[in-house]
Order: sequence, then C-alpha cells, then structure tokens
Amino acid sequence: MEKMEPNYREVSSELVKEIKQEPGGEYISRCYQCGTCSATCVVNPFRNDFNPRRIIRMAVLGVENVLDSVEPWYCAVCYLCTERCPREVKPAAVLMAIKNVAAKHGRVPVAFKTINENIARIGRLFEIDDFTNFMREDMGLPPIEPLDEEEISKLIEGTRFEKIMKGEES
Amino acid sequence: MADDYLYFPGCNIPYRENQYELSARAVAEKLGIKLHDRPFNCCGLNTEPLDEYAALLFSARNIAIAEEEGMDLVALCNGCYKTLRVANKKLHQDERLREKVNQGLSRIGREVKGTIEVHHILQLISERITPEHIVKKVRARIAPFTGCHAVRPSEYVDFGAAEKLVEMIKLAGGKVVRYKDMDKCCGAPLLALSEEMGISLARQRMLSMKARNAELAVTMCPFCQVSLDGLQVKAEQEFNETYDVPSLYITQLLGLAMGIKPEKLGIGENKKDPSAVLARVMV
Repeated sequence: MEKMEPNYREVSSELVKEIKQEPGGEYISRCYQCGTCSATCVVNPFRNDFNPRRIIRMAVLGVENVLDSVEPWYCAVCYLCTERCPREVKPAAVLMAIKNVAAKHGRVPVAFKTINENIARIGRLFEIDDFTNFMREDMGLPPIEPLDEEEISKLIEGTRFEKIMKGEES
Repeated sequence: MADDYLYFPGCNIPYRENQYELSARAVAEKLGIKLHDRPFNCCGLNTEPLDEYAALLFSARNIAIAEEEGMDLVALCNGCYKTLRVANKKLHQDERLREKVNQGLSRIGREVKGTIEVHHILQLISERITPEHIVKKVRARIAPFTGCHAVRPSEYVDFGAAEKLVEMIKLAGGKVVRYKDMDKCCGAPLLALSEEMGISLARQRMLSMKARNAELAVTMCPFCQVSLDGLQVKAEQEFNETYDVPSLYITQLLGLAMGIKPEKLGIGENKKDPSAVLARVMV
C-alpha cells in the first residue's frame, strides 16, 4: 500500500454511499472541513500524511484511491477527534468505516491481516502454549484453556471477515 | 452474587503482562471481589478495522457466555473494556443489531439477551477500597496515566476513570503529578505499522512526566504499560536519553499500599525496575 496521492480523475459517487452503509460511516457528509480532527490528532505530528480531515475530504469527493492508501490504517483510534468534532462526524468511526470498505475490496495492510490470522483460527491474538501456562502456574495463576477452534470457525462462517482472511474478497 | 465477576483476561495479559493479573487478583481478594474464569476469545478490537460485524460477533460470544453464567464481566485491559462495553451497550439499545448478531451467534448455539454489564477493574476496586485497607504509604510523585479507552468514547465509556485513578494514588500515599498527556495515546496501537512511531509517542509521554519530576507512573491497561514500561527502555536507548520514571499497574501500587508482598504483585516482571524508587519512597 502506498502513500496517498489523490487521483481526482477517478472519482465515484458510489464510494461515499458504500462508506455510509458501514457502521460508523453514517455521518461522513456532515463534515465541514474545519480541521479540528487533524489539529487534535496525536498521530499527525509524527506523520503529516496521516491527516483525518484530508482523508474524509477524499472520501466525500469519491476519490477512490483513498482505499488504496495506508493512511487510514495509521489511526490510533484514540477518539480525541470524536470527542471534539463540532459536527459529530465521529471521525475515528468514519476512518474505521473506510478501512472496512477497503478490506471488503481486499485492501488490507499485511500487518493487520497477520494480527487477525490467529484470531480467525484460535479466537485469540496470541496462542497460550504449555510453557506460558507453566509460567502462569508458577506465579499462582490458573491456566488459559484453548478455545474450541470449530466454534470459532462457525462463529465467523459466512462473514466478510472469513472471506478477507481466506483471500476471497469481492 | 454481588461480588462475583467473570474475569476477562484478553489476549495481551496472559501472554506478556501476567503481573497485572497477579496483582489484580491479589487486591481483588483482599477487597472481597471474587473473580471467576471461563474460556473467552479476543474482545473483538483487533478485527474492527477489517469487519466491524465480525468484531461484534467476537464481543458478543464473550457477552453471551457471561449471560449464561449470570455474572458481569470485568476487564483489566482498556481495549477489552471499551470494546466489550461499546458492544454490550449497542446490543442493549439496538434491537435490529441484536437480532442480526444473534443470527450469527445461533451458529454456535449462543444468544445475547442484554442481561449483564461490563466493568473495568479500577471501578470495582475504587468502589470497595477504604483508608482502613492501607497499611503502607508510597510517598512518591506519581503520574497517573489513564490512556484512551478508559475515558473515550465518552458516549459509552463513562465511569470517571481519571478521577478514580487520581483518588487511588492519593489513597496509596502518593502525590499526584499533573501533566498534559494523562489521557493521550500511549503509542502501542501504532506498533503494528511502525515501531518507530510507537516509540516516539511513548517518548513524548515520558518527557511530559519527566518535565514535572514524576518518580513513578501508574497505568491501568497492558498496552499503556507495554509503552510506558517496555518502550520507555527502548526510547532511552534509541534517543540516548534518561527518563527514569518506572511504571506500575494501579493494582501493583494499591497492592503495595495494602501490604501485599512485591513478589505477590509481580513487581519483578516490570521491564523498568522500580525497586530503587520504591525503596526510597515506601514508608
């Protein structure tokens, strides 16, 4: 995934509709570009290209390559912008909706896919092996029992998440 | 049943931050809070960016198990707390969403009805602890660090974590350090894409604490602790700076003040060794 170079020649009125269909994307059109989100953002000072106001503008204009960009994935989801947004756009949720739409189209940064590999298989981020449980026992803590993997695969059966993890996205 | 809770460990704590669980269990026991264990899955937080509905299914499986047991959930991790609390509240309020989620849960023979609540351990502790429980004082300048998800989004997360954390530090005998970054991102969420940025954010927090002469930091989340503790050590090496603000979990601090032995609180597991400071400030 690349840094965001907006391509204004390829715009689609469908993009904003798609974002609004995702939970959290509903209020994207309220944005009047005041920039409170970007001024509040804790990530922006360390990465100028992560600019929530700009990402939201791209999305509203229908600049489709916002979905190819890694920038929305840099959101730390700290919700400072959401608390301060005067239009109640809920920028963190809008960015989450943009990520969901990107993921739906198979555009997930490798790191985020890797994080979810264990979760899709064993239901947890980290596998607690015998050694870790032995250490826990040594500290006087009860063991962490593994989950029924079949139950986890049934739980996510037919979801977009299952398709994304199998590489069968639309 | 009022003091029986289902302990939600999440993914991080049993994997690399067992001292938080150890100290929380020790403090909870002294306060009469009974923690029960069940096989829970990831809270759902990690799946949100890919598919919010699937993330909600992960949250809902945990909530359904708690409902089956008839006990509220208590989380130690801010990320788990926020994720389960938001999911639970949405499932309580939104009947259509609950139906959709229950359709998914029916594949594993479970259901969410809306009968339990989700709490943070700090909330349960602060409701029960009294000055009578305190037998030692930690007379240090202590910087409270709530992180994000104990205080935001305030629409869902609203137990007054900042005030409670400050209150607990005072109760333990500490002097509360006021500084600007108490509820800002610790940097941990950025580690997935850029370790450099994660360390940079952690460094900024350490510099703010250092500027106000904090001797200790106190956290209430394993992600925040990984940043202020482990990343502090890395930032000191990378930036060739010294912050020297060891970080304790709030349950470790309270445990010490309640007279629980440091080894029963896993103090030795912390990356930035707090023993020199503690030897100086404990009375």
